[in-house]
Amino acid sequence: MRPKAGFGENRSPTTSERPNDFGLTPPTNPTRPDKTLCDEAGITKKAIAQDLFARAIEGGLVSAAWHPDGFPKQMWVVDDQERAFELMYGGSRPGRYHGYPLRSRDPWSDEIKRAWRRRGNA
Amino acid sequence: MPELEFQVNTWVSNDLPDPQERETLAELTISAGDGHELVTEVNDLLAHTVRDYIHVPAYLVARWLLIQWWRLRWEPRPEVPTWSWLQSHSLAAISSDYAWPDVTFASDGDFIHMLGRAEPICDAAAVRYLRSVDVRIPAHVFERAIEDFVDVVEMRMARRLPAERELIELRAELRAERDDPALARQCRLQALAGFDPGAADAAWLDAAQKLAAEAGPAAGDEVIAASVLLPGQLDGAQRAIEAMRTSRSSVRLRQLHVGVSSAISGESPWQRGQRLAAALRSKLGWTSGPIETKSLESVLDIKLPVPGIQRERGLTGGYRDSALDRTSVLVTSPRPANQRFFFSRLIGAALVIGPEDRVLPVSDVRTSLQKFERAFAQELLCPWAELDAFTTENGTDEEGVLEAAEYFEVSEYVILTALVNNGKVSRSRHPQAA
Repeated sequence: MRPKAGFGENRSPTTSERPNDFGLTPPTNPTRPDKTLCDEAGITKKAIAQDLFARAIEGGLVSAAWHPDGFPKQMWVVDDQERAFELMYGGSRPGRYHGYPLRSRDPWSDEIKRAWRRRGNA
Repeated sequence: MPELEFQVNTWVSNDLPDPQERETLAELTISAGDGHELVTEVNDLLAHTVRDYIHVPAYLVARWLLIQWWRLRWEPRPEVPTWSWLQSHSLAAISSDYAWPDVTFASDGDFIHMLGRAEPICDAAAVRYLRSVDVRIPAHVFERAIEDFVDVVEMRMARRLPAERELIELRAELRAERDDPALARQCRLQALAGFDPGAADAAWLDAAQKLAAEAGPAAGDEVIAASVLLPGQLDGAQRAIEAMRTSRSSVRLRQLHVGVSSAISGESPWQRGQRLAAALRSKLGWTSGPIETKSLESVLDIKLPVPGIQRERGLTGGYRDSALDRTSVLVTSPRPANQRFFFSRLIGAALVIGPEDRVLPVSDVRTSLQKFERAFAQELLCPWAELDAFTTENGTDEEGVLEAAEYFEVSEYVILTALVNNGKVSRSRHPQAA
C-alpha cells in the first residue's frame, strides 16, 4: 500500500491551528468547529504528520472496511507520547488520507492503544 | 428551565465538507441539574474567551442519542466501565474528530446519573472543559430532553437537507419500539444486559423473557441486569434463582409493614431507603443503638448465621413460596456481619416489591432497587445520626472505622460507604476508589 498511499491535505483546515504549515488555506469563516487539533497533539509540521503516516502503514492497524479504490477506510497509529491518531480515507486524489488525534477520554483511544500494542508496535 | 437541556443557541455558518455536519454545526449548550450546570462551558484558547457552548454538529449528537437511547435509558453503570459500555454511554464516543465533553450517562431505571469531568489541561483540542458535573436526572426528564433536542435537529434537517432520511428513520424506529409493549420489553431487557436493541439473538430473548417472567415484573429486570455479572450470564442467573428456590434456609417476611408510603414521587433510592428503614426501626421498637442479631432472628424467624453456600456472587436473594409465607434464601457469605447486611437488604426488598414477584433480588448491580436496598440496610443497622455521633467521638481513622464496624456489627466497607456518602471522609478512603 505504501507506494500508492499518501498523507494528503486535511479535508478541512479547521483541525490545524496553523493550516499554512500543511499547505492548506486557512478558513475564512472566523468560527471554528471545535474539532480535535493536530497542533495540540504535537503535529505542528507536515513532516511530522508524514512520519506518523508512514508509521501507520508500518503498524498495519487498519479497518475491516476497505474503499473500492483498494485502501482501508481507516488506519490508526500511536505515537511515542502514547497519543492515538485516526486516519480517514479521502482526499483530492485516490490513496489520500487525513488524520486527527483521538482525545484521551475517547473510549476508542484506549482500544486503539491496546490493539497497537497487541500488534507488537509498542 | 428543565433539569437537562441540549440547547441549540444558533446555527453556525461554516465550510465543512460533510453536508450533515455543515448544515447542523451549532452553538450547542448542554446544561444539567437543578443548578443548570453548564456542561459545555469551555475555555477557547485560540479566541482567549470563555464560552458556555461548543461548536459541534448537532446532527451527530442527535443521531448518537437516538441510536443509544435504550442503553442510555436503562443500562446501569458497571463497576468498571467497559469499552462497549462507554461507546453507548459517553458523549466522548460520539465521534473521534470533535472535542466532545467527557460526560457519561448511567441509568438506575428511575434516574439517569450524569457524570462529567472538567479538564485540567487541553486534550488535543483548542477548548478545555471547565466544569465537572455530577447530577441525577429523573428518567422522564432525560427522555423529554432528547425529544426536544431531536425535534430541533430534525426541523433543521428538513429545511436544509430534505432528502436526508437517516434521523427520521431512526426516530420512527425508536417510536415504534417504545409504542409496542412487547417490543419495548425486549429492547429494555437487551439494554439491561448491555445489548443494543436487536443485537441479541432469538434464543437469548426467549431465555431472558422466561427468566424475567419467573422472577416477576419488577424482579425480572433486576435479574437480567445482574446476569452480566455472572459466569454464563443468563445460565448463571437461572442457576442462582434455582439455588434460591431450593435453599433449605428460609425466612418469614410477610408480616413486615412500615405503615408509611413505600414510594414518594421524586424521592431518590437512598432517601427512600433511609426513610423506610427509620420507619421500620420505629415500628419494631428499635429506637436507638445497634440491632442485636437475636432481634433480627426473631423478626425473620431464622437462626443466624446460616450456612453460606459457596457459589458465584453477583446475584443472591430470596424466592417466595406461593403462599408468600416463607422466603427461601441464597446466602453466599458465611460472615455474620455480611449476613446481617444481606438480610437487612432482603427486608428492604420485601417492603417495596409487590406480591407478583417471586424473587427478591440482592445483587451488585447499580439499579434503583439495589441502591435502595443498600441504603435501607445501612440505615437499619447503623442509622446515620448514630454512626455520625459514634465516629465523632471515636474517630474516622482506621481504628475508628473498625470500632464502629464492631459496635454496629457490620463490615468496615459499610461504615466507610456511609462516611463517604455523607461527606464525613474523603471518597479516596473508599475501597472502590482504589
